[in-house]
Amino acid sequence: MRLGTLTSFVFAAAGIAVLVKIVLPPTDSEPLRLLSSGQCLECHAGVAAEWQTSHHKFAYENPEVRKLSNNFANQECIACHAPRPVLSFEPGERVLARQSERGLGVDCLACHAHPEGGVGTSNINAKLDAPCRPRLVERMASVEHCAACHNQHKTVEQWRGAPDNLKGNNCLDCHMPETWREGGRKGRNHSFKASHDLPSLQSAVTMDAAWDAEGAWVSLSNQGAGHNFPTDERSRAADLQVRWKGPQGAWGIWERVHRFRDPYRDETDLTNTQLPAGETQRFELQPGPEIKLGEVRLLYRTNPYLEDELASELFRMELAR
Amino acid sequence: MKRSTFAVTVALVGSFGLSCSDPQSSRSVEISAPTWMAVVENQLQAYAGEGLPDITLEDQEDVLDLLDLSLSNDKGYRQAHQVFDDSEQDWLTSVMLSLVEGRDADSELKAQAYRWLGNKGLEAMVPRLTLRLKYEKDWAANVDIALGLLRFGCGAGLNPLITILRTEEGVVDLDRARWAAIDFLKALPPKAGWVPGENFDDDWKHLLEVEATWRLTHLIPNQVLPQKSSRAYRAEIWKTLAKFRSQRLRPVDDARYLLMRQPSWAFDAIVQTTYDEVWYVREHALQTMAWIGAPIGLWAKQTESPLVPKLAPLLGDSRLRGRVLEAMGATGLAEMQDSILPWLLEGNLEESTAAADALLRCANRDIVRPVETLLNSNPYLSPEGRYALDCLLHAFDAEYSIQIPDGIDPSEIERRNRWAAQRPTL
Repeated sequence: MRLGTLTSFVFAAAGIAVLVKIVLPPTDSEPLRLLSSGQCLECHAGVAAEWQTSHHKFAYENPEVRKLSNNFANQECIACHAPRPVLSFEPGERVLARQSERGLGVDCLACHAHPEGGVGTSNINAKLDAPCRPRLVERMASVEHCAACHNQHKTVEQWRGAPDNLKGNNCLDCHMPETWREGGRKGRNHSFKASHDLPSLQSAVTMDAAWDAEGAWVSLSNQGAGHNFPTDERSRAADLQVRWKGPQGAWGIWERVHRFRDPYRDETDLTNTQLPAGETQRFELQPGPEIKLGEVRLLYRTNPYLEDELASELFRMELAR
Repeated sequence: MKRSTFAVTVALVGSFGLSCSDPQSSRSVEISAPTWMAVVENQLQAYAGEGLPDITLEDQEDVLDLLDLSLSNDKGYRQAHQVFDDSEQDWLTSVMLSLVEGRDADSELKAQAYRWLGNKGLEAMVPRLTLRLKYEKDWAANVDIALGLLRFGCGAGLNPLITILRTEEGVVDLDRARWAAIDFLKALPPKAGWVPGENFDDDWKHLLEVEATWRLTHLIPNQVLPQKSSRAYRAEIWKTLAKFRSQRLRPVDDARYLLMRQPSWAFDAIVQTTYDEVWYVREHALQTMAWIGAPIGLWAKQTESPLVPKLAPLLGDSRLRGRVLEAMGATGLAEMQDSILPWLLEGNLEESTAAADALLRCANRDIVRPVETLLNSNPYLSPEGRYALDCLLHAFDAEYSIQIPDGIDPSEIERRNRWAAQRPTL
């Protein structure tokens, strides 16, 4: 054997050994048989702690959901509030309900369990030899992954129709921002900040109001949501309200100027009044001639029947003649 | 190819194959899936052009004008109804249905349309009229819906009728609805010793009995009906089943709602649909069976249509398995338990939970020993599955104490308590 051939053989063998080491999982780490999301906590305590604060965790127990679904007598609601693993379905297809551990709501396995075993991830830096055997699944970073549930109430459809400059790349950009984890690794925040988070709501819309030569007015502009405000058919509502200070100095009651909401299927007497992404709506106000001072505010309700005191006040502005 | 390149390629292909191998070991309980068929598509083709005809906006406007005329005076009423009587009844049924389904018609005209459907609509209206029970908020209209359904052996409107008669205040136009409901009672099927309209208490008692029978059997007692449902009705049932293909939930939800309220002669189509080529269609057909529950088991017995040979092969579809187990259990037929038990013993968490729930709903005493043996082996069960098995053992031994497992949602406890309570009536 010539020296050159021998050298080639040695280098090739070394290359194979290195590749095998990279590609094959190490033998001392057996794949984990995933039975429950509870198993994920052992290695992903930080992510689990974020998820614990999220409404994904709360999805099945949430009293507001219980109320609106007639305590899940509307069984179709269970599919998204305790779903089977989304990756078991074709991209964007509707998910179906699971039978076990429904109390965990939208849990780790609902988004990550891979139909061929192990878990799916969109993290290109994932440790592929970890016991849960992550597999790169591109669609996990796409809107299709979230659409399985979140398009049932049309949010993804609204996002598709939004102006490009307001959309971001996907749902993750706004609702799962990048975050640094222990050891300097980068991941995505799993608290899914959205309609139950005041700063998120305040970043979605801008309220403006004035009492100028044309009269008193208030406007709302959706330049931050990337979908309708509020999104979600039926459940969410946002109300612009006004109140006036009488000549005696007492504040009057809050009166609704406009309700932003998409009604539910049986509310046949109502129409969709949500504010689409990129649009602004202005409302002229009608104070009496003796009125000199007023206030406008925007209330966000996670269900349309929520009392004013329990709603989130996003903005309040003074109106002075 | 150089030898070194070849070696690297072989190593890569081999390692890829290893990393893609299925991490789950095979189980003795595995069976292969049956052959799926274009069930719904074939039936749609077989019934093409049947069922209620399509109508136009002009058709609606013509009928709205006539309904308006019927409200003007006696003469107008007679004239309008003469035109109605002379019209094609399937066309008119379709138009009247579209008017009550739409948003545009004035409420008084809608009430007239409901009145006509209640008294004269054809059998093919039954599925779509059933769906009006979900959406129609006018209580008096619900009485007309109940009447229209009852004429064709569908008791889906009886429960709303009971609600109307039990409610004493707080509803707009309640008196009108209550009087209409009292009048409706005369239309109930005959019963020995019962004189319709003679005594409200007797009428009321008879209504409760008829409704209870409907709930358990999806049949109206003592009702004389044609031997077979019309082809137009069956065409409408298949059109409804085709909605199970929808990715939007609303059409699916509506289809399930109305199908689970149909007379038992619609059950055969639902069972056939569990073999459809589309996974979602199979899934929702099984779910509808589960929601119908014990009446479908009773129907299977009465019509000698054994369900085990129909449902057991479906367990070969791993994606469908949970739903198959649920549907099997919901029938209340103890003959299902031999097919269910292996999934309790060897299934994954989802399968064992579904199997435990199914056994709670249908198993007989023979199940006690295998369940006790399983529980003694300290198996990994979901809290829901564990609770279901406890309820099952308690059903056969009142001394057996039920534990509330950690992590179970209260509504999941309630569901299983309800199933346990329903067992004696199965």
